[in-house]
Amino acid sequence: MSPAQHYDVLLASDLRLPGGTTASMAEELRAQAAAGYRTALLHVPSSLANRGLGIEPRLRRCLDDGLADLVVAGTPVHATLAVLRNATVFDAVPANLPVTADRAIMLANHVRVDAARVQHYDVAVTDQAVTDWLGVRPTWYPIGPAVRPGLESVRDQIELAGTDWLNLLDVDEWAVPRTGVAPGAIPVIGRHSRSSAAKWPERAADLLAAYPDDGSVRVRVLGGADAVADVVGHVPASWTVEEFGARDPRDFVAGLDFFVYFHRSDLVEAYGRTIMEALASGAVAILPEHFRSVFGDAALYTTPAGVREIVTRLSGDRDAYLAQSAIGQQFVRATHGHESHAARLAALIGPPSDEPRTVPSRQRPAGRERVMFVSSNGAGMGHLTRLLAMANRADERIEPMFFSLSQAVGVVEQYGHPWEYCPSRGDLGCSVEEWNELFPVRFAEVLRRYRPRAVVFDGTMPYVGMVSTRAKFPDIAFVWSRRGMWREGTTTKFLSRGAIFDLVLEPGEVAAAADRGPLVGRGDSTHVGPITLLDTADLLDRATARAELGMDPDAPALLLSLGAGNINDIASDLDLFADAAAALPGGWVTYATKPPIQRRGGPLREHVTPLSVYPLARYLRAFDAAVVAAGYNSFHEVLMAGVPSVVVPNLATTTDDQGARAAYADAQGWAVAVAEVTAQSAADALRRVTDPAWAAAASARALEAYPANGAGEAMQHVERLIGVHR
Amino acid sequence: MSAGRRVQRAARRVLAFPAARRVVVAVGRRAPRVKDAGKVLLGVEAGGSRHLHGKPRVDIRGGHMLLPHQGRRWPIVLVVALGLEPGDTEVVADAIERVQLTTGRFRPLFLVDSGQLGPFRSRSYAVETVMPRAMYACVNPQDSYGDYLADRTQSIVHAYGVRSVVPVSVAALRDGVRPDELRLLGQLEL
Repeated sequence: MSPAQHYDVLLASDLRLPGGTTASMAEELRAQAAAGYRTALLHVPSSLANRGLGIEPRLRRCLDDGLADLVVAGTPVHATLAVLRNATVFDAVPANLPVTADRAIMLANHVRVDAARVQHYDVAVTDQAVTDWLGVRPTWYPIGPAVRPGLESVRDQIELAGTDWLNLLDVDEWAVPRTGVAPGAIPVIGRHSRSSAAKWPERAADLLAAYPDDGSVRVRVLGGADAVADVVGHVPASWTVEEFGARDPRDFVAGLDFFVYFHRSDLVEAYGRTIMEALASGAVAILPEHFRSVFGDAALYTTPAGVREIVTRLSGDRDAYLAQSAIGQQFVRATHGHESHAARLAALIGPPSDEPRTVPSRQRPAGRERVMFVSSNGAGMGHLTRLLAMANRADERIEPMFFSLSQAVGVVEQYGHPWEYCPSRGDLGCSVEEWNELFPVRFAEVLRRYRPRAVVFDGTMPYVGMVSTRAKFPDIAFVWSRRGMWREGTTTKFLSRGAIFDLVLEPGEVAAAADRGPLVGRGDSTHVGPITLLDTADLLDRATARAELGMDPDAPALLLSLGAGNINDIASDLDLFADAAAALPGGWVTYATKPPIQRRGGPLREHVTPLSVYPLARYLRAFDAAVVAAGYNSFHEVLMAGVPSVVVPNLATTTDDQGARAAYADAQGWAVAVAEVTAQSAADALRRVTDPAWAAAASARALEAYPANGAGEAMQHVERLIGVHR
Repeated sequence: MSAGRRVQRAARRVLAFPAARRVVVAVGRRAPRVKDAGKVLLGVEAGGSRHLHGKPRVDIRGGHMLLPHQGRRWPIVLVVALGLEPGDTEVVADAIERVQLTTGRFRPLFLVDSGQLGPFRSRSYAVETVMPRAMYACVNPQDSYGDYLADRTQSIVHAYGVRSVVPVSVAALRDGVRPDELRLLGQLEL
């Protein structure tokens, strides 16, 4: 066997345990690394955890971050100090754990005997087991005043320390700015605990007094509420209940005004780590009287029946609320800060053997409100591009992020926006029913992980799973960017799903006068100007654009851009226009785009140069004429750029009335519409748009009619909705 | 409240006591039939529905070389390729397509940290993504990327009924792994 590795501290316990034991170990690990103490982490299997293996995530992250080394059989370890946590774990230490230590301490983080007179560990047995294992007798430390009396009564059997070993918590990672309960707002109360019967009051009257179901408060529960159903007969429908581990507790307590924790009368909580976390976040804690010995004036104490009075009083007195909130935070900082841990270790074993380490921060970036832009996939990139246009114009206090069904979502990265992706039903090839089960799970996962203040959805119809998920996130504002110009006769039976949105925005449409669809006159939306990714000022001039694309500076150039071809087969249309272009007099050079999401794509005609740039609009002025699809984006972009164009409607879309859009542009003299592409119609249309007189007039008419970009205006509506005012 | 519900309620209350729980767990370990009966009594999920013996919950297509209804019973292999550079997704899709063509026993589902999804789309392969490590560190610096990765993978495994998770490295695909070794990722019981 290899020689023993030396560490300042060995932390040992059952590393699988969820909750306070391992959370406290993770905090100590971080504090030790920051101070320079070398730490080894040892797993001691026990009967407390009923699953096989797998280290608790917070500890696993410490290992991933290199803050400690995991002890395994092949590497013997010697520690100056062994810190053993949870006495029950050590009543029978497995043989052959390769560890020795100069001294050991045993942290009792549960009461020895609870109110029901159940003994949780036998100090003599544990003390002997540890002594036999490490060769040194441990000193026992209770983790708080609730645990100490149980050890005092058996102090003749153990060596009991005179001080408690308080748990650690990094207040800065939990603290959120508090402003009190806004006038007229309904106070939010909540709790975070595992869902065992012992964690809830045993009488329905007490339970509903502490956690009312009458609408006077909003009740939120993290950790499940099965036990409530056993006591009350049901879980009140007005409560918001999430299972244990469903989301980061920091986000949960950040959303609470009051942390109210009442449990079964015979439960003795050794400490109540979740209370400490709530205090650190700035929530006001309301607790049973017996917690006073632990938390002092950091919390408020009452009976279940007294909860309502405290909540009402402090909700109406902002100063009193903020004063109590500050007392709670100061208490945690003063008694449970990382610095106090380094000091107590130094007193026990002297200075650390290593240099202080930089410990990766777990602190949430503050100051910016996250807005999640959610797009459906669609036939092209219209939904995604409209959202990108809004995101790019967000106030600096907004942090945009994308969640899209479009496989082109990666394009947002070039604007600095992070993204997540969910495959669409079409991309998976699965049934509607299967996809409708997949999406809500994924959507909820994303919302829980990134906690946006608002969701802005651009898509024709909100998904079933979006509607069901929305109910679980009442704090998030939902906005629907709903493009108009639906085909006449499009079903409206799904429009009722729009009720989940706090705001419906309708991006402008220059062909709105031709809109005969079911959205006209509904009066349920806020209209803004046409939304395009770029403003007119962002478009490159002809010479610069040509230089950047490597084009001949003088030769007349035609652009063919007929979309992704994911609904209709554009290959033949493309070829017909390419052939017609080849026959144009004057030496025209032809280019054709390949969108990022194009599924199929055959070879282009030999005389056609492929082009793959994003955003294409930036380069549009490089071209003297264009043939584009009549989708929302391409259509508005060529008009905005003043490029004489042939517009080709895709008549196979589900809702977008491209035929009406193209016909209207033709009637206004902005462009030439070709509904059915044939060799003759393609040739005729190209002849028209390449006629210099017609092109100049069309360009002038289009530019004159084109309004300002509505993207910034749309974004400001979203910002106002979440209280960000410019 | 039904009689069954009352029994469940009483049993849960008893099990709230650690000592009672320890006894019940110990008995359950020694006597699986008692354990199963206890699960029925408590209305606890026995775990069966989480493991559908490879039957996918979301039934994905198997790729462009299969006719629409072919390969629907094949097990799904989650091919995880991370740390990708531009152009790497083509290497991954190409290599796995070769494996699938030569073994014909699985449907690949890709998990990548790249926005270049075209190579999967053009082959009609399903693909899921995770944020790249650096991007995630900017977005959620307070979280562990390892946990994020594990959560995403677990969620995908559950959603699609994935039978096997195979991390691959692009460097190995380019010139490290021999084709006959790589083919082992498709060796699953149908």
